[in-house]
Amino acid sequence: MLARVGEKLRSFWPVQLFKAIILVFIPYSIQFGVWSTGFVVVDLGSMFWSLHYPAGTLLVSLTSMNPWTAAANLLVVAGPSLYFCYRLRVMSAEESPSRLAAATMVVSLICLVLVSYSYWFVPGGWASDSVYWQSLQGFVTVLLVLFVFIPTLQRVSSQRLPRRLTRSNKHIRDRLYLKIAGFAPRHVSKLMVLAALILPYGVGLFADTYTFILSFSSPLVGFASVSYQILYLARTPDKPSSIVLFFQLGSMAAGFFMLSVLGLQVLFAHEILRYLEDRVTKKRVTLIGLTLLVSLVLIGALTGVGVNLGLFNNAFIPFPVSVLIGLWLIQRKDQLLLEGEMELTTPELPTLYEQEVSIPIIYVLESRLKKWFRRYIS
Amino acid sequence: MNSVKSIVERMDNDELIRLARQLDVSLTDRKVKRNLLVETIQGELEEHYREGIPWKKTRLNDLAIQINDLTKKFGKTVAVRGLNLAVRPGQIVGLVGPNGAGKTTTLRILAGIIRPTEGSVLVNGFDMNAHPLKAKQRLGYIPERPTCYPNLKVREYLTFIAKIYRVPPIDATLRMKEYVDLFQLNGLLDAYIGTLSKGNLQRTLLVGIFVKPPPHILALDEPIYGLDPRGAWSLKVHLKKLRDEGSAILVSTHILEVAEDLCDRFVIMNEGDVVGKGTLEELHDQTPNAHTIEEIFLELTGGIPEA
Repeated sequence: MLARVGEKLRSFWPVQLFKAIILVFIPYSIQFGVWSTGFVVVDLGSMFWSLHYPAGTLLVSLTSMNPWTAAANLLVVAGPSLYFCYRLRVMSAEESPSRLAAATMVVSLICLVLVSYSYWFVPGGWASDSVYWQSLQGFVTVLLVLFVFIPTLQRVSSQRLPRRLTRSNKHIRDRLYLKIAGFAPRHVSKLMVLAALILPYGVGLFADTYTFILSFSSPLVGFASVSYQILYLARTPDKPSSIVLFFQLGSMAAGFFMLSVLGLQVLFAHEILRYLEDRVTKKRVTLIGLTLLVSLVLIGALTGVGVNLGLFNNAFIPFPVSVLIGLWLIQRKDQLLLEGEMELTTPELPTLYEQEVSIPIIYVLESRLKKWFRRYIS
Repeated sequence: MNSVKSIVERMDNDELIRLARQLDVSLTDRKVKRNLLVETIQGELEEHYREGIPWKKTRLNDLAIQINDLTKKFGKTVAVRGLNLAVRPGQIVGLVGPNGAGKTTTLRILAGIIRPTEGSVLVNGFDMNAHPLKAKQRLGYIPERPTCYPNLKVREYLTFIAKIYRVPPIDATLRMKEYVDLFQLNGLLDAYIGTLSKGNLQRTLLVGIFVKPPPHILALDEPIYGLDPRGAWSLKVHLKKLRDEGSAILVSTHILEVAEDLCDRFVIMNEGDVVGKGTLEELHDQTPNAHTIEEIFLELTGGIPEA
């Protein structure tokens, strides 16, 4: 009996639903702060419960939303990601899931917007608890990361792996990593992904709420990372300094901004590792690093303009630590090569036969247009 | 067809995309496995050359190069006097002689660069004076001192030459790849011609004439000079292959080993006159005291100097 239940649980849908349900109860909105008045504030928020701890008083509450509406919301926002998981499972190993992943992200965003605005029209759907809405956004972001982003990355990277490393080549690769970074390859890759997730990509500057003046002398400065924000309120004559830490996947817009930053950071980390193994050129890695930097600079500049126009009250200066670490690794490898301490030890380059060819975008568009014309016009 | 397929396999990714574009291959994905792209292009080429490779059907006139009573005077100096010469398809004829014998002048007249004082030159049956365009369209010429457009890149020059000779783009792409590989010009395709060494410029000009589909009528003035041993060997092997396929080749040289190795017949010139003509055996008959081609040459051009 138990074996049969276990077998059913091991099948695809129960496992995915089980994962999604666990995510429902995990708090995404985590705020911890020591405020200027001296009391500690802790806020935890999940889809169905929230915990508020202001000044030594613990308040635990379930969501004020109608449970059926909440469940329907959950189904709508989780649907695209679960469908993607199913499609990925039945997809052949040669097919690329990137396009479907991008479509899933867009559809999830649309579903989230629909759910966020439709609650006004649902009887009992209104929830006064803003933490719930933040949690819903966080839920979608985590769902996309765990169910879409990471599986896509794994599938694509496994498709691109030229072939399994032989024992001797693995040995060469291990020595290479130890020499460059001081860690074994499995640690270097984990540390690079962690750096992409945890290390700050920018320093936040916060404008005065009333005057919208942005400067370093502003009393609030913070670090922005993909997974958290730290705010530091400088000491002023009338209030002491304080630190507020947000483990929050943030608002919907910020969530998607973070996903793009995270995507580029993880891609950069991935390419750095491939560069260390001589599998890609330095030019390619540098270009990806530059793209990441330029996009951060552009977004930083836009937030600065937004502050000047009175649209936002905070902006950030790009400070991508993971890029700096990547550049250090490149420089370290180059230095070792220059000093002759390391030889180019390409583990196993993909043969010409196994390579992928990038077709110019204009050619692809031309081909699609011609195909479309052939199908519908002629 | 197999040779065409192997050329496609050797192409780099950019060349494959260029060829795919010329063949109008539909590529709707941003990433394509290389082997899949190669197979698709090979399939399209098979379809393209369904009725056979066109240049393999072309035949030359029975007298591909015909020089009749050619005389060239520069003032009172006679550079070439009464030269008669014929090169048939499937022959390599060597124009051999000491410096100042009139070899280069003969080839310059043949290429239509200078006019003869008397006589006529016919290329594939077309008189160079009466129908210069038709005659030049069939002729490939490498000058003694190679010069070329210094501000063109090698790739641009080869594409330009293919267009001048009206080579269809697909044929031009395949032939360019074949000869760029043969003469090892891969690393120089994006270099400006003005920056090339003499040897590399010579290779570029050779690829330029071979971009045009065979059979060829070639007039090569000291083609080996300036090439490294590998380049020289590749050229000699290729010229023999072209001869066997029906091309007509006139080579001017004063390097006797090259002439002996390469040519079927010889025309030996000295001070503008033809002093010997025929195959090596016929030349031996003309000079019974000479044993080697060097001795034949010396015997015919003023006698063997005494030690």
